Amino acid sequence: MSYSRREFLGLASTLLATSTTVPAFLRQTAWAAAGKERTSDRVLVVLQLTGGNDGLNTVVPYTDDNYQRLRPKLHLADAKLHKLDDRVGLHPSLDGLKKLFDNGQAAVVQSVGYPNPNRSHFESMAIWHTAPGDEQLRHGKANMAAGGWLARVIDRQKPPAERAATIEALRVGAGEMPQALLGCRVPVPSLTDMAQLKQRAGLLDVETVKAQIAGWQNDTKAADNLLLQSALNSTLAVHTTAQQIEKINPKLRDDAKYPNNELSQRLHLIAQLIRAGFETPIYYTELDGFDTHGSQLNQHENLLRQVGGALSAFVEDVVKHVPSRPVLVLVFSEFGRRLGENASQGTDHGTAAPVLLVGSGVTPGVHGPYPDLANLVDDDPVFAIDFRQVYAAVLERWLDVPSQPILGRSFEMLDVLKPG
Amino acid sequence: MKKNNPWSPCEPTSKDPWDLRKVAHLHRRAGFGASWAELQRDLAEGPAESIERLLHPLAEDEQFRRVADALKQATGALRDNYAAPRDSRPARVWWLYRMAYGGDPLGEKLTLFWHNHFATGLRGVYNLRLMLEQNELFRQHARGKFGELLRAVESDRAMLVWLDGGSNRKEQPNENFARELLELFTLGTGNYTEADVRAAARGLTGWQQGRDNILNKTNEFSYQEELADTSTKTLLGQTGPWRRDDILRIVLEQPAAAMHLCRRLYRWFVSESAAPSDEFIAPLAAELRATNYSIEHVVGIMLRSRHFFSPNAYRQRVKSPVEFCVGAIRQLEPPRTPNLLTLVAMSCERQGQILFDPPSVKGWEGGRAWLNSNGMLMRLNWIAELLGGNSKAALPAYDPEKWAKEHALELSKAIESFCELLLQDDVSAATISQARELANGAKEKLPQALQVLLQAPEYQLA
Repeated sequence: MSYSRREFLGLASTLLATSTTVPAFLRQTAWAAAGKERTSDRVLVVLQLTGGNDGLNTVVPYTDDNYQRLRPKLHLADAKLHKLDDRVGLHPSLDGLKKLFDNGQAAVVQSVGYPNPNRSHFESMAIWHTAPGDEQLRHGKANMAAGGWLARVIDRQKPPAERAATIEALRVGAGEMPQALLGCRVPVPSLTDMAQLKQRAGLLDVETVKAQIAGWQNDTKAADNLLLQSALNSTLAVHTTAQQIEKINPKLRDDAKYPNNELSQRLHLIAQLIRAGFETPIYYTELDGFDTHGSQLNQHENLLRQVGGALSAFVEDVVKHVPSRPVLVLVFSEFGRRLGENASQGTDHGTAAPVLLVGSGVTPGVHGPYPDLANLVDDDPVFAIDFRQVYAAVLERWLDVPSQPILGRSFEMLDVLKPG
Repeated sequence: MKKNNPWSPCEPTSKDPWDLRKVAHLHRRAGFGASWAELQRDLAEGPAESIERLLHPLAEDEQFRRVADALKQATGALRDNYAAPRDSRPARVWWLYRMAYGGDPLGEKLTLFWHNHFATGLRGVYNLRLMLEQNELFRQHARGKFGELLRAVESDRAMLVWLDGGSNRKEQPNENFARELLELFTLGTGNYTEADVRAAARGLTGWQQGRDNILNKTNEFSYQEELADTSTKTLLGQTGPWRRDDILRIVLEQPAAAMHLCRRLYRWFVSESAAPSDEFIAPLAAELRATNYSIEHVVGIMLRSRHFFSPNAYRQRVKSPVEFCVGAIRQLEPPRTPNLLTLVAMSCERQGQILFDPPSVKGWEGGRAWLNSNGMLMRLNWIAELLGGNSKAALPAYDPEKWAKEHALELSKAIESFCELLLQDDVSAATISQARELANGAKEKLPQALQVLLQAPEYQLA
């Protein structure tokens, strides 16, 4: 990374000195650097494990006889697990995550789900994404038409007029936009690499662009039309962001060490944006491949190694380089997998599963009731913690947003994040 | 209507003549922007003829129809199978083709209005055929009677899937459609109670969704009298054994319904800056009710009005991504290369507007929400691509000299002509002088001058 904090501080004072045309996110960051007031500095990263992660082989109930009995081929041996307490342990390939637990930077919430579990990938994912009200859940349905839970958070923050220059949330990844981020007034951008944030000069040379910007900066008449003023501010913000992005060169090695895999690249990109002074408070990314109906052991081991390694590298990077931006990573999947293994050495769609929370703001350790493997309903353990309770904790304790208007009612507060 | 009513027709005077600015404004709002020839024609013919032509266009050109039909075939919608949102790109290209090259821009603008009003998304419907069926329904009723459109929407298959009308049962009502009917489609918040939502949901029962031989839901729906809840219910103060036709009738009898629809039309055609008072909207709502909800009648009043041709309306809307991209194409008339509209569809997607997939049932927010910095970046990049070309996508660079030649314009004055075409007088002195300086320096720099004009903040406004 060619862009150090020292350089950034230098830029910050210049920004403060110069103008009213600096985009909001830079201005706020500059204020923060100069020790002045800013709104919120916390970052939420949502990591979606797509396909239905096998929760029982992630946080393993190794002392439960039912686990050993119903998973003759797929159960994991006690000795290799990273034990969290005398009942559960992490999958052997989750070394990275274990390190975070040891540092007091990780928490697991067990038995998370919702009533009338839906075992369709689409529908269960949509339920997690839209966090529908109780009535909809009774019908076993998401509310596709209502927009995502994070979209509702974004819309609550500020009216669009005041945040035209800020990117409120960013999705890192390819393919369809997660429903969680759809439905807000300002569309959330999605990118796979930094290049997509770059501006094309098109036919213009540097001098012409400079003259173009100067013309806009000196345009005083635009104030007569508020929409025109917004268009002007936003156009200028594009150029300032472009200059900012120019300074991040992802090809240069920085001192942060990430494993070489796709998820690490994405979390690394998020870290670079945070380090470059992006004010964006919400990031979203996904890792696919968890639909392990057959030959699960190797596949699942590799996926979890990616997750653990990427998470620990990311947390270390951000904590070390941007201590002013505390991060929380919420890791979820649309459902867990069936307790009883199938005939193909895999597992089928299940219901309740653990949710992981990673970062320095967590109340570390194991939360929520252990899965009750003796009392299954339709072959699956019953949920004990409503996923919307986890969202409520993240909203109230991390994003400082009242959860009731977002989730339609209030939920009992889980003690998974440190208050304040 | 009274003479000094803001909705009385605009009558140009020598002080406030029918000029290029008015013609271009009319076309940006009633359509997607005008070509040079259209501007000159309507400038010569005057407001009455210009507006009449938009309201009552000629029958669809045969050749246009053939290409449009071929593009529609290519969407794959007829296969009638499962479709994810990404599968809609060919369908978006088909609709963009209609907007960019069709002879009924107002019809397409209204079709887009209804798509935004009854916002339905492929991501909940999962079937392109149903989405295109709904789109044709919007087109068919675009300027017709709102009541007829509403009845058609209530039994539209895409809507029955999207808002669960098909699973609204007497024993277990699903209020999804009923709620949006009252909140978004007709009355607006504050004009009904929760009890009205429940009553409407009960009255709208009667739909049965088909099942295939392994009991999966199909997209076939039938309305069955015996499934309808015919018990007595009270909706908006009226008590009776109401069923679907009664529900829609009672809703449209509310003065709030006409007010709500006129406000939506006002924001779409006149201004996003102002939230007009009830008194201001009331004359339009009265006209709407007096004509049994004729959309064409009220849109006609708006487009002819003094208010529409006043500073209260000029540049008081932000172009949506579709208006922005299609508008540039209608104005600049680049060659119709095969990938052009696919690139438009992709750029609109990046700017935050995916046709057939609005973000929620509320539609697109519009206005300043389009001007977020990421959307703006994608807009500026689109202009760079349109003018500079994209060799990977076989899009040639734009040739302004060719355009000038086609319209028999002097090359030495081309930049002035482009300025008239794109911005009329609504551009800052700095931008216009920079464009002139580039264009007058060397004729190779004409494309650069054009980029400066198209990237001006003023060009973002409709």
